Amino acid sequence: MTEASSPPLTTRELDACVAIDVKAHQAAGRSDAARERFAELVERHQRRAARIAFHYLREAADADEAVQDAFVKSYVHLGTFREDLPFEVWFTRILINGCLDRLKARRRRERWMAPPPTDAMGVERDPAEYLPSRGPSPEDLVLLGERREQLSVALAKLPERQRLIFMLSHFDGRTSREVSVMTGLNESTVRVHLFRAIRRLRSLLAPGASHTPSGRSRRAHR
Amino acid sequence: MRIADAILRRGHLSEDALVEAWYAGTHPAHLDSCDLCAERALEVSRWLEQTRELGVSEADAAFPAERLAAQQSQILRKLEQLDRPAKLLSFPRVSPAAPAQHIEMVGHDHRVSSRWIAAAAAAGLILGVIGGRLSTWQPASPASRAAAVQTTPAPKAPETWRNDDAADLLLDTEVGQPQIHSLSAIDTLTPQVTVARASSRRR
Repeated sequence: MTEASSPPLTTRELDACVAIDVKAHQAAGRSDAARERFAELVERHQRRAARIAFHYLREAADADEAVQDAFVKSYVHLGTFREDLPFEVWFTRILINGCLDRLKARRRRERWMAPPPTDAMGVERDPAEYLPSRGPSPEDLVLLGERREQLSVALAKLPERQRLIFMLSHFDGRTSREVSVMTGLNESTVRVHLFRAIRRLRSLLAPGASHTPSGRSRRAHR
Repeated sequence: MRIADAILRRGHLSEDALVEAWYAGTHPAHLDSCDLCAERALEVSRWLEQTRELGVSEADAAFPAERLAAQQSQILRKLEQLDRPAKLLSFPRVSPAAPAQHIEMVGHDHRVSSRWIAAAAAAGLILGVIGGRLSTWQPASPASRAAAVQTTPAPKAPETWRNDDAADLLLDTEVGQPQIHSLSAIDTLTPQVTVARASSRRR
């Protein structure tokens, strides 16, 4: 008689198990155990959270803080999490709301503060550019940096909603349904925004299209 | 195939349809029969893949493994602070109700400082006394010794009266010798000091 081997748990099921455990530990006052278990969720979703926050905020330090805040919030409010919804969807919603708040705060701040440093071309320098990255050669690095910059400038020109949907769908690989749950928008609306975003990006990144500084930089130059 | 594609594009696929197919991971049948659409689909999928790779690599370059590890430890530290109850800091003033350990700790500092103050005061006192002595003390030189010999002796201090009666007697004696005759009558009327004192004693 052979034992039927159970299929491996999906990420969603794993997350649900961990969330249930954390909630139970929290309710019993076992803070250390709750934190230890929650660290698994952090480890599993940290990278994709950093990607989303980085593409949304365009600043590594800001994105770092946004991710930290989102995880702390999700730990504190884990009692409100329902297991019928994937944890990553629930968590991403918290993260996006945090990013939106940060963007609003940044816009308020930019009205009163001096413009950020720009390079010789008048393009705003991103702190992420100063971080050491792995590239085979300096030439490749320069080319890669240029392409990234072009994409970044083009993304900055998209309306906020289109940019968010494009990031979640394209960079994070979410389905229209998942994006719909994360953003609270209708599924068909999500699809329409995604197609519009791609059309706009393709025209902006076309070989003949001129690349002007991002909206943020133009604001700074005013 | 979408209705719009069938009517407006004569069966060719729109860009949205190609994008949708790429996201869904499907392969529309039209692509097998239409080279033009197959080429467009290839171009669209290449663009989408490159854009995704570019975006993801940019974010990953901004968040290397070390940064993610630091971020994770920061998150866990924040959670630990949340779980830990707030710590109350006692007011620095020592109160009788304060814990013994606190009193001992604060008292230790206080004792050390008072010791220093006492030592400094004692040293100051000793130095003051020695300094005072040194400033008044003068070594006896031969010249000063000769000057001391030549100086006239100081006048004797008047003798202190042994008692009041002797003083009264002297006063009477002095006063009792009238020098002006016209005043002798008044002098006889005025009682003598010794007599007045003797009568008061008798009373």
